Amino acid sequence: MGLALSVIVSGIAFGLLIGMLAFILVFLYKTTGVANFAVGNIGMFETFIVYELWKDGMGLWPAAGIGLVCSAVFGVLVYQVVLRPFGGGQANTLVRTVALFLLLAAMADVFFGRDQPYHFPSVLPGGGTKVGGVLLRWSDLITVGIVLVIVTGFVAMFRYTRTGLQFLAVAQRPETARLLGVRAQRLSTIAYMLAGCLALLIGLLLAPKQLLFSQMMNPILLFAFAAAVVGGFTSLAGTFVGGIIIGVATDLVSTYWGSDLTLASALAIMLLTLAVRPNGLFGTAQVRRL
Amino acid sequence: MTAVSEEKARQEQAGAGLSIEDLHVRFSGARVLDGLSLAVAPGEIVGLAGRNGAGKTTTLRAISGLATRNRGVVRLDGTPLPARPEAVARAGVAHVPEGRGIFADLTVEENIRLGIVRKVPAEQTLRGALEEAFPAVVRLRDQKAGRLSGGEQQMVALFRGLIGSPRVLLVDEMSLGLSPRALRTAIEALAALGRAHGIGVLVVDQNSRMLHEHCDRVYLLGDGRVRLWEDASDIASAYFE
Repeated sequence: MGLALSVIVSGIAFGLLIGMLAFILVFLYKTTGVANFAVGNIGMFETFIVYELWKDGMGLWPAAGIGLVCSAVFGVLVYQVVLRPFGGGQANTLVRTVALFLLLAAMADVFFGRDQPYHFPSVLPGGGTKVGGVLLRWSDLITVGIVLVIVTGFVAMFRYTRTGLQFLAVAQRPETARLLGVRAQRLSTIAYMLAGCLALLIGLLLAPKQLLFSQMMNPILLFAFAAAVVGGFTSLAGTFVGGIIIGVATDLVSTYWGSDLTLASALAIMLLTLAVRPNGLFGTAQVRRL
Repeated sequence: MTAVSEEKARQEQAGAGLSIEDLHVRFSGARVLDGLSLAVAPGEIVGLAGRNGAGKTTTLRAISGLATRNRGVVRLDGTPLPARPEAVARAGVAHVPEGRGIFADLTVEENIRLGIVRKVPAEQTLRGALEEAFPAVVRLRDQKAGRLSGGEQQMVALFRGLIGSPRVLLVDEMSLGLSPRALRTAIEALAALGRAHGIGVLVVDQNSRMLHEHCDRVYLLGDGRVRLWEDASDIASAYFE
């Protein structure tokens, strides 16, 4: 029982990381019209930059700080250089994001050596505490705290700032938003800047647990996709609920039935959800009132 | 002559308010608008009527830049309007689109706040005057806009269109979802607010009689052009020719 509870707690922490990646996917999808799966590898590449700075003798926190600034710039570049200039349809853009995904993985192999994977120093303290026989790791608790702070920040932005309100407007009705003077390209640039920073954060929290290498984001990207679908691909809040469901379920499955089944169990949950609720848990069917 | 007075003279010559000259819009080869010209002066309320598919909505979309203008010029106070919708909005054209464009997941107040397109001091918005004209909207302020009735949503859309004190307001499907009484109240409020604040209002509807009753002028749209509505016999020719 104690073991199951411990697994559930760490599953929630992992699920919130999954949820954050799913949140980025859905946030970009809603504000720019394209779910950019390259964000996974954007986070991986940025984590490598921090790692290189740290390896050259810089402290981990200053390196992470510089990495965060680089990530913001990197996000903007991805939008301005790769996505914005060519226009084209959604399929066209989608193909470009896939190309970016592959390009970043290849560039990580070229620039950061073939001795991968690397051990990445943990940003968070090790160890933990026991509460009633349940082991709570500090790193899990801090991860939960970090995600909660970020979610609160986003909710505050959506609710209290003009830019946040415009994000919601573009997400719901892009055409009407333009009629109200919303500059969609400016918003997309900001969205990618935020996405770049969040992707680095995910990389920094994930790398110490599972080593740093060019393919490190692939499993969590699949989990995040499943979480986004379970949450209903258009619901921002649903991504975190979907993430927790996937995180806890896959942690339980890998603990009791072996890690071979983790990916399969995530996809099974996704398919089951779709069979029961075709729009996901929080998604809404498109309804138009006359 | 100083630049300012030059600018002013040019505006007077070109006519203040909204003016459309020789507007052509094509959709995949088909001519939807074929040399349409019309004008809306500040403070004036003008109707645009026509049967289904005549191009009423396209006219408004071409003004806003949502539809590509293939030929012709749209001017606001003598200055040609840009092509991009967000730039047109910032130039002072408000557009209540087909289907109202209400953000269902946002509250009524959030919908209205999005209507303040240009950064203006709070006292320069028309909030006070609008709250008098549409008291129902004030009552619904904290509701999710998606839960409102069609008529209430139309009020919110009009409120949102006017709050940023635009130079021109375009209203598509004016009577959509409104009871005859609510429609009369709403269009009279539009006319009064437009007159009081020098806002030109262009109202689109299928019901040309209603427009004739409330507007300073009514244009009939057919074959991609407009002509002025003269009397009731014109309706028949516009709708059944």
